[in-house]
Amino acid sequence: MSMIQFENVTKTYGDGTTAVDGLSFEVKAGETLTLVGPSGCGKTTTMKMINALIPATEGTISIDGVSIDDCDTIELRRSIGYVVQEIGLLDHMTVAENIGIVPDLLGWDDDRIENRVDELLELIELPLESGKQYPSELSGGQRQRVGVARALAANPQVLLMDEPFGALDPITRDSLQDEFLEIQSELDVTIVFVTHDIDEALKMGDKVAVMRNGDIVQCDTPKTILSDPATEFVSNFVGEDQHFKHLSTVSVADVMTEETDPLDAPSVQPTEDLKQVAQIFLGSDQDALPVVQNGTRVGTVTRGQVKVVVDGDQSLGGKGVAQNV
Amino acid sequence: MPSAIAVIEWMIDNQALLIEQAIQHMNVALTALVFGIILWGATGVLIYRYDRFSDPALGVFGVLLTIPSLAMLSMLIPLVGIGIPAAVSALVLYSALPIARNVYVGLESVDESKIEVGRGLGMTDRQILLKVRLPQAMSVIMAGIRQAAVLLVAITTITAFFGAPGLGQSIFRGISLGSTKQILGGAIAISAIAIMVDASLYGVQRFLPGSEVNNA
Repeated sequence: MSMIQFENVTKTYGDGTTAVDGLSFEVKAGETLTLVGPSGCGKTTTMKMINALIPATEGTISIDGVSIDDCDTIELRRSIGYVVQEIGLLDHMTVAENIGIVPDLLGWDDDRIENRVDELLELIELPLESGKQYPSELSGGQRQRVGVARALAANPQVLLMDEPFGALDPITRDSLQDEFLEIQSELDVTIVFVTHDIDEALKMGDKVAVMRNGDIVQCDTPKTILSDPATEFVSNFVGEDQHFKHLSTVSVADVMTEETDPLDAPSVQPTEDLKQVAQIFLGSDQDALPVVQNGTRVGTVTRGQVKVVVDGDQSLGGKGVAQNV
Repeated sequence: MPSAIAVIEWMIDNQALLIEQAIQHMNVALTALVFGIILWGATGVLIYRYDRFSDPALGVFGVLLTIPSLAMLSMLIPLVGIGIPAAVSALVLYSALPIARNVYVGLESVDESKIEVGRGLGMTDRQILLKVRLPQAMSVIMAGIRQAAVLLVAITTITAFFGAPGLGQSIFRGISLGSTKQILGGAIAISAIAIMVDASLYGVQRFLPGSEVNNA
């Protein structure tokens, strides 16, 4: 079932520029779609049309089968979680007040808001006391977690994320991405995620839509985007190291054999992706590594298996390395 | 020129009078400030909402501020009567520019990304104004109010010339008696009030929403 559907949606601005041109796509319930492309490709416009921050000029956008033109705009926005960069927190409100904005707008009573805020602080692993702090007292990573918590406060079915991790340093970004994937796996929420970073798009999306000049050039799973780019633009955008990136979409568990002969080499987890394994192989002269889960040897991964993936075996892998083990 | 000691001696000898006049002075200035905040605060919000009126309104308020106090009072006395009514009316008019301008500029210069967040989370226009724009603009608005307060404390002095109470009475008496120490004593008391009012308003500002906003 499609949760979000675009039918021939076009956005033309007053000055005649067309930001989005006859776009049609759908996002299935519970799925994450990442919109990725160079600046000015229309990805942010596309996302902001979903919560009517930007009205579409032509075409129909529907959520759960209902056209957004038939919804009350204010109610529509309150029902959709909205995450922006960390600067999007309102700095005159405490962390708890920020998280509680939408429940407050919806008229929840104070006790219920307070409980929900505590729940969310726990979910994003912030101490409960930090609810009383102001955003300026938090680190960038913590602020971004609060931004996510705020969007989730009223249990939305749809989440829009506008370059949420864009302003963070690479290390913080990486760990927040992992944390978010973990949070997301426990939620039943449909996500549209805008980013200009192809690595982030491939990591976060069940589907990746590569956009250019207001249109989707290719919308596919991360694996297909990497192994079978539709046009030269996509393959250039994915970058020359696409084979190496492909490794990060395949987990050890996908390729390992159940061989358990003793090996004198550093061990790896079944949940690790092959990019990490390849790095170990590059830095040593081992030909095989033992795979260990919870302290028990469960198999072996070899240099040859990694090479098969690099050379383009398309029968393996997929997004959510951690989930499919 | 009297010595500093002579001025201080005069102030101590006349402290009962000075305190009484200081209270009257603050009474006039702060009454005008309260009316000014209500009137020009609302005007600031209105010219922000109806932007085409902002330039003419702020232009007129600017001109008001250039009218000499004595002229302004002379014009108002036939309309509202001598003494406190004329004084408060003149002061309210003088507070128009600093208050209305800072409300307008403060609301106008709020970071648009913050407004879009409010909109994206489902706030109505009124909620955006009350929950986002006003608190975000609060430090700029308060700067205008503090500026108006100091201005009014100073101009209140002149209103004594037309019979309004306050420390201006001491100064004008000093002028007619040729007593420099009395003039200086009154002036020092007025400066003290101005500094005190400004500091108290700064204290108030820290308890208002938006004190965490760093857009100064």
